Amino acid sequence: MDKGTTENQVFSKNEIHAMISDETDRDQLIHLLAAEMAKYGMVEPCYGASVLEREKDFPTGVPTMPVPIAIPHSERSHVYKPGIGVAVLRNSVKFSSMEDPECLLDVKVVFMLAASLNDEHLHMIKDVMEIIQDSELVNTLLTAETTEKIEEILHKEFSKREQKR
Amino acid sequence: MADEKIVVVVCGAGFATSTAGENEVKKLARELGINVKLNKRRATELKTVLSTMKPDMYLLMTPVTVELNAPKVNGVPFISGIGKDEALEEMRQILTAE
Repeated sequence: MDKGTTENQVFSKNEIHAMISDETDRDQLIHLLAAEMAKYGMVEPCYGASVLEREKDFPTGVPTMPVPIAIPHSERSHVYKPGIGVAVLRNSVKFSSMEDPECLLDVKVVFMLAASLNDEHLHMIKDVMEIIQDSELVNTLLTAETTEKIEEILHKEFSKREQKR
Repeated sequence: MADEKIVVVVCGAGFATSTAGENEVKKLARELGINVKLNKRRATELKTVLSTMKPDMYLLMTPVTVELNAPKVNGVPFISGIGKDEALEEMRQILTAE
């Protein structure tokens, strides 16, 4: 067994790529995540810039419990494969709240979405919304020691929901 | 025909957040046994909405500063999970009024 994956790992339909990061700068983090997602062919190389542009007008910080989460995304750029780029932060990164742009949240987990307007992708978005509301689950992501573990947890959560459809 | 409630879900620039709000409205409509016509609109389209529609309720997934022509409910609790019950109750009251 290598890299902490288990024998019975399940995979969801989504591409899921995680990182554990010390980054404290929001823009840098968004570029890092976007580059990772582009590397796996999920999005165009310009996705990061497009996400940042959108974030200016419509911020995506969410005041969830136990820690604030952000769901940056962009619909102005092509998405090739639905999925998410996840960053679990050792420190935190400031995102404006989607409820009130003046309010800055210390975000600890970032789910960068790659989705477009079709049913399959909308299901994924719905699942993400459920997942970020599950504080117990978010805690397991925060304490996960490897990116493989984070991906494993999330694949399990998504596939659980996919099977019910 | 039973009357139909018109709900406008307003989101930032696209579809991601409005999807969460839309699902909650659909669930609530089923629970209340009412017909709801859902319209997803971007915040930038609000001007057109205001001049062409008279909805029964707005569900806001993004902050809106313009004055609206119907009651509004903050939809962010459906993303964060915090204050969800209160937001549901507000919607219930608006959609069952008169």
